[in-house]
Amino acid sequence: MADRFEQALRAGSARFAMNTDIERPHDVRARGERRRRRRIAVVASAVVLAVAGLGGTAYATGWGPSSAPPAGTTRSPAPSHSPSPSRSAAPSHRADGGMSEQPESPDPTGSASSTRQCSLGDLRDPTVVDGGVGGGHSLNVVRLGYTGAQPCTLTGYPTLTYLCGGNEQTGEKHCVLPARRGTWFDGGPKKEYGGTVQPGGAVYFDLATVSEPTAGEKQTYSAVRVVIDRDTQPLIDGGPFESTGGVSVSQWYVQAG
Amino acid sequence: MRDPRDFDSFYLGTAPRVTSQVYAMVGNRADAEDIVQEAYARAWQYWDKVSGYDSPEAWVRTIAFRIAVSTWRKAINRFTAHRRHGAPESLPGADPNYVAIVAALRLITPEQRRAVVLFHLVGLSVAEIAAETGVAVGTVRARLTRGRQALAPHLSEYAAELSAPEPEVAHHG
Repeated sequence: MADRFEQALRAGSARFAMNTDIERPHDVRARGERRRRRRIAVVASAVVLAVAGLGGTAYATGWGPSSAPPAGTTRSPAPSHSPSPSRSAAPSHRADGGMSEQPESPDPTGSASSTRQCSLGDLRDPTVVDGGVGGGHSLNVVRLGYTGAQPCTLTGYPTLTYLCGGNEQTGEKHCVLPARRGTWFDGGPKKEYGGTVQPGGAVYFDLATVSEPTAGEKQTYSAVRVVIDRDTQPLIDGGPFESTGGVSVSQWYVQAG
Repeated sequence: MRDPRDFDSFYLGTAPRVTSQVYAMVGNRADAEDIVQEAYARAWQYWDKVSGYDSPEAWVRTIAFRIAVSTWRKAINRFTAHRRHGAPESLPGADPNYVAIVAALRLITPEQRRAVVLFHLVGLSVAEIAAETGVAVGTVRARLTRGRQALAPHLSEYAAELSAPEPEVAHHG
């Protein structure tokens, strides 16, 4: 049981998160690309300097720039640390029917290589089509119809928003729903995440909430929408969603259950 | 191959939460936002590897906390620590108790603060904090205990429970 200090810290932080405006992902990636280019330039300079330092000796013995650079001049792009190197890559399902926050590994079948990636713009009409309550949690299976003309593969997690302020008169404010990434074990067969969707088919994701009263103060997430792109965010038919312990979403999958 | 959509989904789903956690570490919204953007930019730089980790969010958080400590040290070196990290900023609409907690967190050591934030806010176990911060379990316990004790004089509202002997491992296992 969390003490009052922890409850106050978490409640204040959750409110802070809900009111946080973040940069557009494109801008963050652009910043990362600039860092990447700078790093490549630095490494390239180091290689040039090393080659220059070796001078004519290297060329005289037949070692040219097209050969492998000397040891110590290349650097691995991997960061020098991993926060939890011993953790298993396998998803973990809890026997009590709860959710795991361990992200699922990407589609292990490699089927994505044979078909193109889906465009989220081809997805329509998100609707809660299934679900249930058990073990203090609630599961909502959300279905979206696929309108594309070609089979495609879909991986990753959906991004959701909810109505976080304002009204019709003053203008509604929508915030990114701070959903955890999770998997849901509902007692049925293990779900295969990702996969290929056929024209006229459908894709799904799970939206899990917590119904256990002691998990925290009940929050109501109204007007929950699926982010297709910056301007297209269809409303999920079947909301609003209530939870005492936040919201978790699964990866996309093609077959429900 | 780095998938921008996968990264964007990860970023949109986790950045507000990580920002709030970093804010608890640094006590300044602008600094927290800058640090988090930098951490996510690095995540995209290495996304082909980071995306394969079990918890990319933990990786980003670790990077962000390191940047925070680095920023803090640079500020100290520039004798601008008080301006940047002295008086807590006002946070419109925030719970006064939360503002008081964040202000008090700035009065304990960064190592203790990180342990307190990871344990009480992020919700990691002592063992998970030890793995994420690269120190022994006993060290984490000591930082938690001392951190809570150091906070107690500054948070009279919670002084009794913060001063309780080793309450911190009771509910996290």
